[in-house]
Parts: sequence; C-alpha cells; structure tokens
Amino acid sequence: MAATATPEAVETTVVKSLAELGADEAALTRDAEFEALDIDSLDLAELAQIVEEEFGVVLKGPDVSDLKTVGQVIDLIVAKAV
Amino acid sequence: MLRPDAFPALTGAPALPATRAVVQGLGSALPERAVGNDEVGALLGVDDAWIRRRTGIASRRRAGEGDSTTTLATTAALAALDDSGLTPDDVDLVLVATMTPDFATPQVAPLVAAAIGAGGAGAFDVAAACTAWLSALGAAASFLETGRATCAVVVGVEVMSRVIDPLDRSTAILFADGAGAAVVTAGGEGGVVGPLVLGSDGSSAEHITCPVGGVVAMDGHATFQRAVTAMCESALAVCDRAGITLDDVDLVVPHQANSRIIAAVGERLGLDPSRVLDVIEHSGNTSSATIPIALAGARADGRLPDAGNVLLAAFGAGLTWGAALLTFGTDA
Repeated sequence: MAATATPEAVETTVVKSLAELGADEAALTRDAEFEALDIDSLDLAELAQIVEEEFGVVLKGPDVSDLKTVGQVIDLIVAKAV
Repeated sequence: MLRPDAFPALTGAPALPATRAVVQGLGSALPERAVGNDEVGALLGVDDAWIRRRTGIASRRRAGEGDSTTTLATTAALAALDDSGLTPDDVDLVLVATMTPDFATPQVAPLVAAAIGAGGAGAFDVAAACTAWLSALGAAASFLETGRATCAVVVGVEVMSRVIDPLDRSTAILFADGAGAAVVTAGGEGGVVGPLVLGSDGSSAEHITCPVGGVVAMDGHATFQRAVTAMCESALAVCDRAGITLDDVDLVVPHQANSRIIAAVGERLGLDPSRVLDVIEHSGNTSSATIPIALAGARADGRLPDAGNVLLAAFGAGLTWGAALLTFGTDA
C-alpha cells in the first residue's frame, strides 16, 4: 500500500535516500544542486525506484533529466502524486 | 519491490537429472588494444573521473585489425579447452552467444567449431543480447543432461564497437569487445549447473534497441531500474529452486553491465561487496561475453570456491534476463 506523498513525507524519503546514495546529509537542503552533491542520473534512477515503491509515483528518465535541485525533485513527486 | 512470485512456481520438487552438466574449463580472449577513458571521453566532453564515477570503467578493449567475432570466439574456446584438459575431438556441441556476428550467415558457431578442430560438432548461435551466454549455458546443459551431447563449448563474444556510436555518451563509455568461453560436459568434476531461470519482457523492448546495421540506443534510467530488479528477482528464484538462501552463495557474478548496477544488485540482495564480482574496470561491458570473461578471470585469481555455490545473473535487451547456479565440489 503506497504511503501518502505529503510534502513532508516526500522530503524525508528523498533526503534519506540521497544520503544513502552517498550525498552529504548536512548539505541536503532544498536548494542544494545535484551536481554539487555529486548525485548523477543513475542516482536519480535509484531514487526514482525508491519513490515508486514508497509512494507509487513513477518518475521516468525524461522527468528527472532536467531537474537540478533537491527541492525540484521533491516538488515533482508531490505534484505527480496528486 | 522484488516480487517473490516473479518466476512461476514449480509444482513439486523437481527431480535432479541423472546426468549433470558440469563446467570444466573456462577461458577468455580480449583484443590487445586497450582504450582509456581520456580517449573515449574526448569525443564526448567528459573526463576520466566522470566516466569512472558513472560506470566503474577505467579502460576497455577494442577489436583491432586482425580481430573478428570469429577469431575472438575461437581463441576463447581454445583457452577454455586447454583449461579443461579436454581436446577438440571430445567436443560435439558448440554454442556461440553473440549479437555481433561477423556474417548474417554462416553463424559464428560452425566457424568456431571448424577453427578449434571440432568440425562436425552441432553448432548454432544464441541471440539474447547480454543474457545470451546464460541462455546458451541453459541450452547446453539441457543437451548434456538428456544425452543429446557429451561435451559442449559455450562461448560469449562481442565486437560491440561495431554497433556503438562514439558520440553517444550513454553507450560509448560502456561497451567493449571480447570473448569468454566455458567447456561444459556431461558429468565430470567442476561447476555443476543447477537451477537456471530465464525471463523476458518484450513490451519494454524500447529501452535498449539497435536496428540491423545501426547503433545501440539505451535509456539508461529505465535500463538501470529494470536490470537491478530483474537480476535480483532471478537470483532469488534460483536460490529458491535450489533450496538454498543467499547465505549459501559464495560468489555472485552479475552481468558486468555497469559497476553502479552491480553495486545496486549487491545492496538490494543484502550482500557484502566482497561476495559480488565486479571486474568491469579494465574490460568494460562486453555484453554476452561479460559473465564467461568474469568467470575465467575469477578462476585465474582463485576466487571460485573449491566447494561452494556461484550464482550467475544476467540482464539484457529484449528485455531479457536470467540466473543460474553453479555448484563446485560435489560429485556429478
């Protein structure tokens, strides 16, 4: 049963997952840029898989390829969950 | 989420065949020319650090003037025969897994059979992209277990450089050329071929394509996700059918698609990295050849158990996937 994709829940999952993928947790603010965090497209593919399993929200390659910040991916997931 | 029912349940415990297929010899053949990341990256506007981070690859081999799919396959086959202690006269089946044959016909297998001195052997190619060597191993094992063959040479070989666009960042950094081979016999001492599962999803074929005469196009995002899920589910299904858990597996040898995929498979299965083979650094992704090349290298490095289980897992275009168990140190 997918969890509800509230902004708070999504942010928690995104931050936790990105930290597990190697990002410095202290640096994971909404404005933090993926490039600066050394998060690449394959990390986003892994994140997308976690997000799909947790919230039932599907993020495909083209959805994430233009995203630059943590905040942008959180907002996209919340928007798609509606 | 890994689906426990990803593979159809077998009704009743399957009887083990009276005759087992046994991997007795392993060998590989890589072209001489090593191409580093600086050379590949120069055309793509990326550097060595970028490529290593994204793929785990530092260099890969590319076929040179004298190399062809057939010559690489032949060299690997002879190396495997040498390792097995058997001779070409013993060989009655040659299977070649490849998506880059030298000709539309004749296939690679009869050419290899003739070249190694096993002319007259049954010979055919197996095409299932990066899964193909595993598929070929399954076919060979089935022939051997049923008395339809006694000694098979199973080759995985690719000249991927023929079908890669050097300006496509998602593929040019990954793919490489090379061949690996196993000698698999009916009975004998070595790695006994146990449960083997294969699966496919043609409805998702668009993630990895290559038109005839064209180049490979790959959706990295989707491929990454599907590859990790499929290899994990296949691995668990094979353990289930063998009546073991991953704790009983000494070494997992995934298709060497990308170091990031290998790592993700290991993490998802809860395995310590020391139990997951990753040798992509200097061989790149040689598609159907990665598993036999990795096995041959593991043999040479003493990483195959004298007694224990080695789990193979593959994923490729199709989409296709599968896994198989080799058990060393038991009687066949």
